[in-house]
Amino acid sequence: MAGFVFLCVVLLASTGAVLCYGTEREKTGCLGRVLVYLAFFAAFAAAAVLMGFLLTNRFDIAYVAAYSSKNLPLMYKISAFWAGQEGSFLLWLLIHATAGAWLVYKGRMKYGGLTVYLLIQLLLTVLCVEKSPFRPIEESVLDGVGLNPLLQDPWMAIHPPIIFVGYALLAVPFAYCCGALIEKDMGTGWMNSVRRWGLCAWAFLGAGIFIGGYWAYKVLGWGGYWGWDPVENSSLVPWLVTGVMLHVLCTAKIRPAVIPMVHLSVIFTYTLVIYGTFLTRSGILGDFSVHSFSGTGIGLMLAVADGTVLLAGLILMIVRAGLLPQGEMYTDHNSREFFMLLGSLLIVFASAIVFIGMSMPLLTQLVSKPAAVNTDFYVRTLMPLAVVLMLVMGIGSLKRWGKQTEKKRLILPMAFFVLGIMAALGIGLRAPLPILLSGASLFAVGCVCMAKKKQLIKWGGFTAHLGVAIGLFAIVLSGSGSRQVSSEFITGTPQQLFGHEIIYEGQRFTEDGSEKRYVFRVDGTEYSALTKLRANGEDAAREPAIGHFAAGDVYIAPSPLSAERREMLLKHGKIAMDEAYAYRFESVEYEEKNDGTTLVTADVEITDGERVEHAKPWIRATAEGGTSKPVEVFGGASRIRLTGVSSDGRTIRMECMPSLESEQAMPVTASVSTKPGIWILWLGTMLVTIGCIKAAKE
Amino acid sequence: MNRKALLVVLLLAFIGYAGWSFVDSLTPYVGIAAAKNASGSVQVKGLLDDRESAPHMEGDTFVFFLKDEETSESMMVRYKGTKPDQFDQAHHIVAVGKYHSGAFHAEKLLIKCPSKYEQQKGK
Repeated sequence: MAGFVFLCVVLLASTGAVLCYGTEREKTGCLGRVLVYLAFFAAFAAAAVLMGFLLTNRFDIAYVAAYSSKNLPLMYKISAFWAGQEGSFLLWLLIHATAGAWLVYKGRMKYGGLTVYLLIQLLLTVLCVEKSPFRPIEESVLDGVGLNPLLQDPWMAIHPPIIFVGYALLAVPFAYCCGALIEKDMGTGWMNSVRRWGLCAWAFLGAGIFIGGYWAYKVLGWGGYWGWDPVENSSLVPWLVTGVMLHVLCTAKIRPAVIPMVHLSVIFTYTLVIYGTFLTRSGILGDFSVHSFSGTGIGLMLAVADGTVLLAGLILMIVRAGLLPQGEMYTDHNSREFFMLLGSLLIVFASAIVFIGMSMPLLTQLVSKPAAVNTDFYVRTLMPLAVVLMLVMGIGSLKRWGKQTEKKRLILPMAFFVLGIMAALGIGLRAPLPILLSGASLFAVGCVCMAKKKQLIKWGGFTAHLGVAIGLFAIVLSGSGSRQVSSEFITGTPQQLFGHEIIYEGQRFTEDGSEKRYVFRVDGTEYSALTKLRANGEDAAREPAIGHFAAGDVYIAPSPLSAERREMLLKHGKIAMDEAYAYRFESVEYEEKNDGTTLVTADVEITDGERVEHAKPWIRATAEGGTSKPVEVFGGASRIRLTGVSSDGRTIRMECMPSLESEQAMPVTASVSTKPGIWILWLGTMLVTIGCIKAAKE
Repeated sequence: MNRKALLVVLLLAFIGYAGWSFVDSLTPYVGIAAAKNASGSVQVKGLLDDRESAPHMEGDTFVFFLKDEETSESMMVRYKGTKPDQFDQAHHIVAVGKYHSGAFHAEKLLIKCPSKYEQQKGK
């Protein structure tokens, strides 16, 4: 209840602040300030209440019951905060309100901008109230269902908040831009703020995307860091357009005629942030995306909000069209501004391609049967674009503003170009486009290094551009250069694959039966593929085994494997038989436990003809069903597991399975692939992030 | 002026190429009967059908039967790769690929989990 009250306080305070800043201005500005702080504290309190509920296992709250559980480790209890729709909107609101309080505290943003910023805050608050995470549960439960095992990974725990920081901070450039239009501020002061906030947002959004990619690579056995899934694309497009925004912004400082482009790119960036949220949160893509949220009632609200953001921005621009500077955007083709704008145009094209691709299910749904594009659409259209982009980026970084006089010799970049082509040929690439991209990206590396030496770019820009270039180079190597085979592994028998000796050593189970590992030895070093298990022994989440080498990773994704289980029904006192043993179920005992569960233990007599043994398979019954683990019979030669007991206690159901040793030694089929130079990609992503942060400070 | 014209021509050529790739890689969403007759790549959503045979590996190919939710018509799906995560808990399976020589050759499988981890509609 308290949490919801705090949300309502945020709602009222934000409404009040909008009115204060939007109407009387000077007189009410002071009150507006107080209300913005109040909204921040209330949002913080609401988040604290939800965090408190999660940490204290308040399963009477629907959200806590849906995403947390008693035995969840502390870290994932915290990350359950943003595991679901409701909590992640609250997190977004919290970050937005925090940035808002900071803006008011610093006092650089004027009233027009603050009004726009607070209107967005109001929208986020309405979403949070509509999808409140504080709803009580309808039917009470003893324990929550827990966090999806796939999300129980350190990378996934930090990925959403970092992305949300990026999304939330992008509202600041939007507010500055609209504010400048409202206030008829045609100076360049607001652009400095846009640049700093934009770079911060870009660093966070980029880092979030990279972490998501790393998680997909390491945890999901999909064999890659990027799947062109709509959810991934919906964060990539705002990231690309933010890149455009920052580059036209640089140009606009030299050439005022470019300023309207800054307005446009800022407006489109935020429109695309909300559009991406709409696409992934409305459930519209349910059938097309692997990890979008299922149907929810906020789609319409988000669609309207998105349309409003876009229209409001464009209308403001049209209204102020007379004041916007005009003139030549560039005077010479041989100048930095021309290359900056050309590069930006290329990124706009790339964004448009991804945008169209990810929106296709939605757009086709409007006219006829829904359709989606194949993922190779992205690769084959973006690849030629990337080649040109790398050339433009490389040459552009060596140009000066205005008119070019001196000629530069591109000996070093050309040598790098040849090096890139040779690297691509060396790992066995034969298609022309990947080879060209490999060369072009190293060409850009050469140019950027030369530009740094001649002091044409600063450290931040140098680091980020170097990161982009070597990142693209690594994408070609690890993507186009990846080779894959599927192979059956028999325990202990070595196989030669892609120049590595791979030995499968079998499955290993943890003591408590919550995890198992498929152990592989690659060139003598042990790597294992983790599978998290449910309480009943089924696979919950699988990870590949990844062997790291200087030339690249060896990526082994085993096919799920479980011992053969035979189900048996035993009637009280009757004998049932399988190939090896005869079973007779004698009695069943019930024991009430303190935590509300019941431990049901059956007494089963088993004989193999010579020996007789009494086994005590058990099942722990809870309100949601039962959990049980196998018990060993005849010193581990076989295992049985109780799966059910009839209500009158006269019939039991159990599973018989072979010994643990034989299950551990079962052969496995695994898909083995190489990821040449993948570590270069991780290096590139780090450089991009560091470069952005450095540039924001410069 | 010449350079500008060249630039425009290049950009138009690229837009043309992108448009063509786009049309070429558009995969409509169809039922199983339509998938069998489609010439190009399509997406099919269905349920796992284990009446004929359980999902299994044939060499490096994962094979299972998919049935149409409405018509109950069934077809064999062959996917080059291993069994996807959470396949056994799948509620719906979406296969993307082409039907030829008696089987649907999937390039991609999307597993839709009803799972307990997703919120029910209407909550």
